[in-house]
Amino acid sequence: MKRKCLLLMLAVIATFGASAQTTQTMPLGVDSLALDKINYRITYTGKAVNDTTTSPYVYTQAEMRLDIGSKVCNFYNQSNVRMQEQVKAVLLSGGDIDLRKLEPVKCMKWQYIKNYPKEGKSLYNEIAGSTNCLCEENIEVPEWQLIPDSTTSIIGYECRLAKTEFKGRTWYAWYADDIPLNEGPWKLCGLPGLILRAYDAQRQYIFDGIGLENIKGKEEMKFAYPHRAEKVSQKEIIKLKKIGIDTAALAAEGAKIYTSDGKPMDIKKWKPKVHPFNPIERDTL
Amino acid sequence: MKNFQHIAYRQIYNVLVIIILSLSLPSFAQQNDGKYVIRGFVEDSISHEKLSFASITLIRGGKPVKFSQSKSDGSFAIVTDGVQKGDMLQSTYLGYKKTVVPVVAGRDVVISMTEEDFALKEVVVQGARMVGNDTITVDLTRFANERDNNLKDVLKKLPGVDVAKDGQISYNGKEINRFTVEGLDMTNGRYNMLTENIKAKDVKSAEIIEHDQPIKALQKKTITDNVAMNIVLNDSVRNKYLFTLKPYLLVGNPTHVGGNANVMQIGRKRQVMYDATYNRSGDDVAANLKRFSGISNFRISAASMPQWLTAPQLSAPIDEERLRFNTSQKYAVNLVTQSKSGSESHISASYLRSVTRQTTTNTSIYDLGGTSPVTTNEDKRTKIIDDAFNMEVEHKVNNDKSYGNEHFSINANKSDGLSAFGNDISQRIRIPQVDVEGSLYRIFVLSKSQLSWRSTADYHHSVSDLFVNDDHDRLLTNLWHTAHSLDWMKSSYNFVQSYGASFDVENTNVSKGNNTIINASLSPSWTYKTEAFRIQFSPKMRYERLCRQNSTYYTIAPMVYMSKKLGSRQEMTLLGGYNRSTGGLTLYALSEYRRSYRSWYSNDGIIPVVKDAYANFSYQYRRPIVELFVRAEASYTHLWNNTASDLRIEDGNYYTTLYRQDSESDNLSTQLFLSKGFRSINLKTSLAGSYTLSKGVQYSQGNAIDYRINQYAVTPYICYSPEWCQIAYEGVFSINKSVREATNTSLFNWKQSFSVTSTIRLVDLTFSLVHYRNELQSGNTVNTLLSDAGVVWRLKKVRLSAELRNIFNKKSYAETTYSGVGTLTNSYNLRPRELMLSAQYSF
Repeated sequence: MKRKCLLLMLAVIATFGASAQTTQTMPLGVDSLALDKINYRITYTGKAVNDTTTSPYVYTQAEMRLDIGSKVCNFYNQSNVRMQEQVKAVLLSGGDIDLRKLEPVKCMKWQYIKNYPKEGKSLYNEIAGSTNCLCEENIEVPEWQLIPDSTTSIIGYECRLAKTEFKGRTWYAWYADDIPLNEGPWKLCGLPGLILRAYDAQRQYIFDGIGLENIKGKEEMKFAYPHRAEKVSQKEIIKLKKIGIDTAALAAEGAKIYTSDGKPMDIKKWKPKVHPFNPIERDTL
Repeated sequence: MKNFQHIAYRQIYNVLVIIILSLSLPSFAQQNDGKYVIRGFVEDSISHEKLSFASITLIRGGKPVKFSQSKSDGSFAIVTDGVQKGDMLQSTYLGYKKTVVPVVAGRDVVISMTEEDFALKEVVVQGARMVGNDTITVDLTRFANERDNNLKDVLKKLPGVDVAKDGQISYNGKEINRFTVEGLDMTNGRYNMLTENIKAKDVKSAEIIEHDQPIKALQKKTITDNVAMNIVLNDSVRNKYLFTLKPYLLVGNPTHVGGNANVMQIGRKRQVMYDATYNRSGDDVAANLKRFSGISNFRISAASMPQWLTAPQLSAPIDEERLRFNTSQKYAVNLVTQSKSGSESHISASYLRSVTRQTTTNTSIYDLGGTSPVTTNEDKRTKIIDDAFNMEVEHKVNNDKSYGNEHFSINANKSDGLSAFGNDISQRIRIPQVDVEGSLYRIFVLSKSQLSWRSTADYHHSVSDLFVNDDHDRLLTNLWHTAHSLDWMKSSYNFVQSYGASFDVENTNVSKGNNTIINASLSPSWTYKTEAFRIQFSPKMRYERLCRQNSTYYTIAPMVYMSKKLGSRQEMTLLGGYNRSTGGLTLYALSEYRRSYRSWYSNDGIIPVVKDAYANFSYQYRRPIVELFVRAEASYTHLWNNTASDLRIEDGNYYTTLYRQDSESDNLSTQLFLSKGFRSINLKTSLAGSYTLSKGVQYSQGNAIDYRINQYAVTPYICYSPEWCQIAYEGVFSINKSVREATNTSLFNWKQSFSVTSTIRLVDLTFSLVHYRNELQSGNTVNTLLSDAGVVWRLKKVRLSAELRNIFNKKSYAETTYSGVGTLTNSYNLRPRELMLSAQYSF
């Protein structure tokens, strides 16, 4: 019999990587670190294809944000942040979380911070399976090739096209040289202007700029540093995602799961489905 | 010679070295592979400080070809395949003006940049205003603006949400079942008290919860189709005492003052509200106390006191404040606290006194199968004095393991209506009534099942006095009632089984006659459910004993319910069943009594029994993120009656007799509701359509008159509310068709209202028009155009407003409605032109 399982406490751990004991002293198991003051905020619509075997592609979508400070840049999934805020509000009010009642966030649930923990370094944060992963890397700037005969207008800015081979994909990026910020979505950066649109050649990942804001340092750039995260490489993140949710580890954490009719279920007997995934970095495969 | 040669070689060598060096130093250097390198540096034009990480792009023919970044010493190098005429270097750097310089062969390119502040041309992204799936979170700050005064104003703007005139809140065409603020229901279902007193600027978000199950012990076990709404306040006002004073001066007849005072504190653990009102401006003060939901959802209902006489009340086919001539006062207090363990205590008390005057005329035409229809006329002047005191106390424990609810209430009401019909007849109906009720509800969660126990006991006493000129009829009624039920529920995998037993005794003593009714029932229920599908079958078995009448009824009332989710956006339900019930005591407990100055009722002892088969289908589609909501619903009921009402009209008097006569009737009702919001332009649109069919037989002096009434209605609504204005339009178009035997008549009526508000800084100017077009039975068409205008001046803590009501000074309103074989035409006196000046002071 097909039994669809509803994750309740699992959501707490999956989202915040917290134990119940930790929750009392450190709300939701995170340290909120102030990294920088935000000067500019760029909003992208991020689209991704999780299952590349489908034809035509079925895209999932999320609102992605690039916060640019004087030193640090933070690229994150705003849809996911919004959902976490809802979960947090429920938890703080002492309620249970029913994931079915939340707007699902189906793609790019990761965060990339540039020039952190120090200049020239970057930090990538993603939950793979049931592990909250942190990946510290050197910043790599793609080697771009400008495509002269190209021009388009994106949210009011004249843009030029550039191309690069980067992390196992051929990327195209439209940048605005009237915006003197050499940044862009994810790890795409280093062009003589802000990247307002980027996509890979197979169009499995698409970032479309939809919003520009001058924050002028009025907001702190914060990072919810997870207590129980593991420092891993990109390769290991892919491996963990292939394994899926480690039910034994969750059981050890004290997580509980319930069937759709509200009955508690032995977590060790639960065999969560491993969903197809399509990593943005393919050279680590 | 050798020395000369040596010197010559030496010189040549030096020249070559110089040439090589000179070639390598300038900005252009030809490399071995034929590539050229353009070199230079970037500096601040004033301080000449070198600028690192500036972007330098080689522009050729107006197009970017290559680019590079300056190093920490400001230098850069761009490798290219040659230099062409017109080549330019473009440098961009945050905090500096974009600079373009020509490439000059043979020289370093120095790019001097001038400081200039940089700001993005902003494109603000606003996320969805409504997000979520089964629980929809609405960002109310995105709907509210400075014009909105209270929460009700904001809720009216939400796509998919409707707030009716009386305060009832609907979501996707369906009335909500629970309304809370910060998770607590302070007013026990009296929505208006909250929505009218909470300020629009104080609200943050609303949560609309579908399939709401407020009892935690039943969550994930018993799924409901109920909808709840919770309001989250801004952090700045939570737990703070909020005071609002709203005095007014009404210039009219009579000119008078009135107003409202409200004190409120709303937190997550404690909420309290004190409210006092004095009003003579036509407002329905009692509407503020109207209960829409609350604990009655869960506990066994108290018995209903038989209403022998129709308590006089305001009849209002249009906006009540236009025809209510009143003097009302109301005092209310509500308190709810939640302990650390989660238990809730609730106390509320209210007192209302209202004096209402109304003048109406009525012409009723009944087609009773005679040679010609019977017509009656009535001119009526009524003064109604209502007193209502209510107090209730509730304690609730609500956690995963158990649920407990104890409730006690006492109501003391008196309705006193004095009516004059022409110059000859006066009628007074006076009904004082006391209701006392206590109930409890317990749920115990056992290891693999759960047990619930509900009990209630209530007592009611009323005196129904009817004075007609010198005649006096009195009916004294005492009613005792107690009911108890026990339910056991067990769920295993996808199956839920529950078995319930209940016992109910009711004793009504009226005119020294004791009527005892005993009910006992068994309610088994079996449910199969998956995440997307539910089916339930419940054959309720009931025993009913009417002791005085010495009658016993055994009934099996089966019910089937199905629900299917079609993805995350669509859901449909189907409900069908059969039931049998006996009519109310007013139909058979007394053999004869007088209902009003011209109406008598008699019964030869027969007990009316109604059997009904019913079916209901509903479909809903909602996609909150694009603010689209759709609901369609159809209901059908077929009734079999063992009795019929014989209506006889003689000399303007109505004689209704209940007698044995098998009869059948049908009711069909269909509704469609569509609502769509357009967030980018602050637009809300909705369209509701309905069709109802009533089919039956009216008996009169041996004649059976078949009738069929078809009603069609369409209600479009549109509200455009950007910061600078608000334009709203609503139309109600209805066609009523009545077919009786060979007679076929129809009425096409409509109401269209239009209002426009212009906001100029802190001032809102409003003008509104309402047009009623009613076809009357006489064949005339009555057009009534009503208009109001107002101005609001919004200061920091004060809102000053002036409103001119009924600008055209319309005196009356008339309409015709169908009721069975009757055609009723009523005319109502309206409030004259009035000027309302008010101030609202909040702190």
